[in-house]
Amino acid sequence: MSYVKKRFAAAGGASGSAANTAAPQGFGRRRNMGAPTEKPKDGGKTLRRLLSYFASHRTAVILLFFVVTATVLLRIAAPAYLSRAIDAITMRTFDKLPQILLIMITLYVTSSACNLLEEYLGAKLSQKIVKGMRADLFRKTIDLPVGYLDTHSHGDLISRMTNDAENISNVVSSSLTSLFSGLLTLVGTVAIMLSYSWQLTLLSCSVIIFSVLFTRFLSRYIRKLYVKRQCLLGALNGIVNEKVTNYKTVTAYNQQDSVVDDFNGTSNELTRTGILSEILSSSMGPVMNMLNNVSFVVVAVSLLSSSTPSSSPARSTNWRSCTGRSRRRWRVPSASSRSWTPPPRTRAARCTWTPPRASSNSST
Amino acid sequence: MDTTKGVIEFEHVSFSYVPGKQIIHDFNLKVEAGKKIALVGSTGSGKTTIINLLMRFYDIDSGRITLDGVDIRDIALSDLRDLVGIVLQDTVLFTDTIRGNMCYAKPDATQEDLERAAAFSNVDQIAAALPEGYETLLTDAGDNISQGQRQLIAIGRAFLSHPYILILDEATSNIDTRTEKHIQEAMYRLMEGRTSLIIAHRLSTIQDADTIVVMDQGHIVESGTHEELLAKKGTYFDLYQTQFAGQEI
Amino acid sequence: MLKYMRKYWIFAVLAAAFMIAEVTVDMIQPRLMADIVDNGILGLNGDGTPDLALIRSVGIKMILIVLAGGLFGMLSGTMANLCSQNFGNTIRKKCFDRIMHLSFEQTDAFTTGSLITRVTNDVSQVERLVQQLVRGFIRCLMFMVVGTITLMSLNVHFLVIIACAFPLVLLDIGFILWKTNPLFTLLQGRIDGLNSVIQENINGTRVVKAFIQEDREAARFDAANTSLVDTQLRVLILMSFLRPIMNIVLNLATVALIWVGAIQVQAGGMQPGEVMAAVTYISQILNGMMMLAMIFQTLARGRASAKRIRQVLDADPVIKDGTLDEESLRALYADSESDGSADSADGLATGTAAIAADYQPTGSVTFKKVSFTYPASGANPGAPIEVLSGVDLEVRPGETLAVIGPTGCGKTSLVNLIPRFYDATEGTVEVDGVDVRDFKLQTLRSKVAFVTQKNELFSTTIIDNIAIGRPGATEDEIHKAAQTAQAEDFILQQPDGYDTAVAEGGMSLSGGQRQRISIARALLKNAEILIFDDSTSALDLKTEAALYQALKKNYPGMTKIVIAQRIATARKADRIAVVDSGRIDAVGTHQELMETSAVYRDICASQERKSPQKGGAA
Repeated sequence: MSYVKKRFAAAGGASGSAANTAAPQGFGRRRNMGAPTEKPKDGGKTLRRLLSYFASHRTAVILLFFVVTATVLLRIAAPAYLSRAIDAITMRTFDKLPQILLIMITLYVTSSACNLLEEYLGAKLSQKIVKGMRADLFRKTIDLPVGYLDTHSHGDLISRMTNDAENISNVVSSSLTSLFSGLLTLVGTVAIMLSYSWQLTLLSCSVIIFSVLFTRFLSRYIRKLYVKRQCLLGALNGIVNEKVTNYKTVTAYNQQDSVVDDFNGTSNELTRTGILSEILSSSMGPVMNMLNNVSFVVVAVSLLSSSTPSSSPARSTNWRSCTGRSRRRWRVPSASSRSWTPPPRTRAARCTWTPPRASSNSST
Repeated sequence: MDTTKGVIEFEHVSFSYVPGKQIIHDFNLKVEAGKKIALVGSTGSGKTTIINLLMRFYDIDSGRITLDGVDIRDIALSDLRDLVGIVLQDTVLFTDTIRGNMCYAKPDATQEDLERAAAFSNVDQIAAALPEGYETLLTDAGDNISQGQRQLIAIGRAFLSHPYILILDEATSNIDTRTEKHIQEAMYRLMEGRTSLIIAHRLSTIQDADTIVVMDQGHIVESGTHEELLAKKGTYFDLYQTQFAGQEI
Repeated sequence: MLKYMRKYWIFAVLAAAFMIAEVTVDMIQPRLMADIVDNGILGLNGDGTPDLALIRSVGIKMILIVLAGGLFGMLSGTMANLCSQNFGNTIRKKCFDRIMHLSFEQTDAFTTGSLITRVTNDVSQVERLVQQLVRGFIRCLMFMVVGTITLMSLNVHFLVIIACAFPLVLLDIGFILWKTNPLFTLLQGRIDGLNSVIQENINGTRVVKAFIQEDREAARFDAANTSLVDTQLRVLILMSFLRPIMNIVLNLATVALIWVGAIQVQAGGMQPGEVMAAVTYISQILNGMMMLAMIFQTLARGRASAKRIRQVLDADPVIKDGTLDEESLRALYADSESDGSADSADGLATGTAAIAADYQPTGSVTFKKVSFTYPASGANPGAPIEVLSGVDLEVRPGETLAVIGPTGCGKTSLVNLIPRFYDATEGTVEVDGVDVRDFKLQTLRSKVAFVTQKNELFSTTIIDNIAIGRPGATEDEIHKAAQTAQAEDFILQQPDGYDTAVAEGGMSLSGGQRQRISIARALLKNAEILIFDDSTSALDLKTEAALYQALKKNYPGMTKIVIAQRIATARKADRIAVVDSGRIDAVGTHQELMETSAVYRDICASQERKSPQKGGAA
């Protein structure tokens, strides 16, 4: 820890020096550690810069949007037919079944094709963006005044271009499509739910809002930990870089053990931070799951209390399809029970069981 | 750029790396076109800093540096650096072959260009001794060639870039004096009519310079030719005595 | 590598156990939900009116179960993290420890850029692998197995569907993994390449700028960046086939299941509710399959990284440690002092005693018929050149020996053999009368203070940089070393004196200042033998002269080996060794050499004072 502390202190102090005044701004993400008050402003700037990369691949983004729209529509449609098929079995109207099943097959095949296209486009886009980002960062680095490089850890700079850029790559490739599909799924389900019952929608929405607030609260804390973690990773890079470069001196003075001690200290700190951040972010998934299921019970109970007991059989089937469908809709296509996970995380939840935050960041 | 004469002038230049700790104060120096200027002085007297400022690795705090009368801050960085061939105190070679490193600044150099520069800088002898010759791969930290040989390659690289102004910052410190002499002769031929700036501790390296500038604590203490400075019996004379007095050290 | 897991397996077991608990809860909960819907809301078992009491009681049960599930999930995640990250930490530390004990030729061969990637990025990949294996494998196995069993218990006919779908899915996973597997090793290699370009550019920024090669370097980076991105894209595109294909297969299985279910219901062999349940279970199997695919992806990348880490961990230092340490030597020495023979030394093998019989801790160095060739590297496989051949040289205790010779003649290689930075290819090097290979490396290197040609300063304070020489030295000792090295004057002029921070690579200091700090560091070590590898080249002559004077006065007993270019420096030594083309040309005093060595005379001539009469001598 002492190494990092020193580094922070040095970076903070150096920012005022003559050598540094010429250094372009916006490079000091890590320096924010020393000045947390600047964070929100910087966060907005970072987001805007990130968005500008998407903007430069506008056509790909638009194309992706359409593909995702198609996938989501198909995904919403398929369970409806599944429901109909089950109803056909229940009602024993078997002659309807072949037609429904054919439609289902068509839907599944097209949805898979769209899914493939979506993943392909997402991969291409994310790699293009990360490539551009890395190239810009490198260009910036070689155009930096000599004074900047003289006073900053080289290993840390390397870490930014590889470890940090790879993280962005992971986030971009997983979050762009999930942002789209999540938003659409949300809009779609809300629309369908509204068509069934506005009370149910209202209640469900309150749960969503609650979980979004909770996520925001938790992620603000987790983000701090992640910044610290990447920082420590940079420090670790710095140690390896410096000690391997100066290996002759390290060896000549029998300093291997003390150098290793120094490394171990930072490595332990990194692990501590890593474990803490991962535990917090991985508890987000189960918590969401809990909220989801609790909400189901709450919805069921409160709807019943408010509805008239003299419900006709037709009404009952409606109930059934309402709860049954919404349950299945969220279950089957998402291959996971995290239906209430906030939009940007849907895809991550779909492809891994680890909570989304963790999966987009755990590659550090 | 053909109009470049190579007149360098430092006017009231002050500079500090860290605020409050001035390295160079009110430095004034005019280097006439085509002259060979040597900077000598105790370590930490600001010699390398002068080079850093001229190359605009760092920008000055006050005063100005001009090249042929134009403030260097008004010259495009790439133009400025294009005029200058530099060999730095810390030799930097890239993970590439000897050829690749030699031709670093001129990727389109011909074999003749390469061989001429190699002959001037004694790199031809290094290459001849290696089984792969010019195609020998160098690594950043590799021990396959010596530090002195690395310096020779760096010098060859600067020669090959055909500079208008040549700067040698302790460029021959790890090279033996006989090889150095050979290179110096080549350099004088190469830089005929062009400006060169040499920093060296070995007085034998610089005694033929047109002007020797003796620096101390960021100031110019004295300047003149070798003979003039010896006659003055000042700082340079003292330095000279230490170097050649031998026994009493 | 797995042995480093031993300490953390309990976390892995706990993580798996909690995962089983969580999945079990996950599987109970749909039933409760169905209970609420069927019996509560729809009142299917009663008169068709909602049963509020049932909803309440089952609801509370469900909330409790859900809370338990969440808790188990969190615990499982916590345990998996404790396991994977602690394991990662262990191998990261082991890996760096190993790097710090490798021989130069080995670290050279790995390259700094690659070592950085291995210690950070590759370790992270392995961490991820462990994490996913511990949590996911159990989870998806449970989903798949339990799902399949329940599905078959509903109706045996469903077995056919699963039997058809499974091989297809496995084929999909197998094919894509087979295609992507080699790409992952390539991918990590590409990261190395990128790292190296960045590293070189940052370290060599002055040269890049001076020769205005920014565009070319950007192009070089672009090439490395493109090849990295291309490889990554190939992986991603291959991977993007995984899920859609699995989706199709499993969704078609769902359709088939409904079809079979419908036939069964029609035939009266099944209830419609059972078909519904079957659909739910097949989606659980699908779930498990998806996870399995993800695990295999991580597995492929993690394996490539694990291999690269193993390469480091398994690298055996080429320079093998000896056996003699300070203690055993001291015992021997005391023994040989008292009765004139070493073979009776207690607690030492007679072999060791024989080796150390000539031990005299006085600081002598002897080269006996030493030849040396740098090990061939992967980059330059050509026939290696002999750098030193048949060198015989004796450095007497306490004497100052200057080594002089043309560039590339083998001076640095010669002194590199003393602290065993490299080993002689032929012949022996002895320190204090003992073959250097018999010493423990630590002991040998504690006898030698070495100032490298390329000054290596660390980004810490000046005082810390000097104190590396002998951790635990008092301030007085540090000041004495700094004074002798002629460093104190400029150190005190720094903004914070001794506590001034040094920039990475010492870039905040001048060349001469860096050299003097390195010298102070070596002096602080107060070793028997002091080696200057051209370490005063950036010092002005006055400073150099003062340094040697102070050295003589403050550290008189040391044996000093000084590589020099300047005759003025060399002639201050007791003797001078002239090295030429890997051989010792002559050894003697200045006067002797002026008579015996043509090479020496030639060197002198090149540095002769320029007499005004002769004109431009140079």
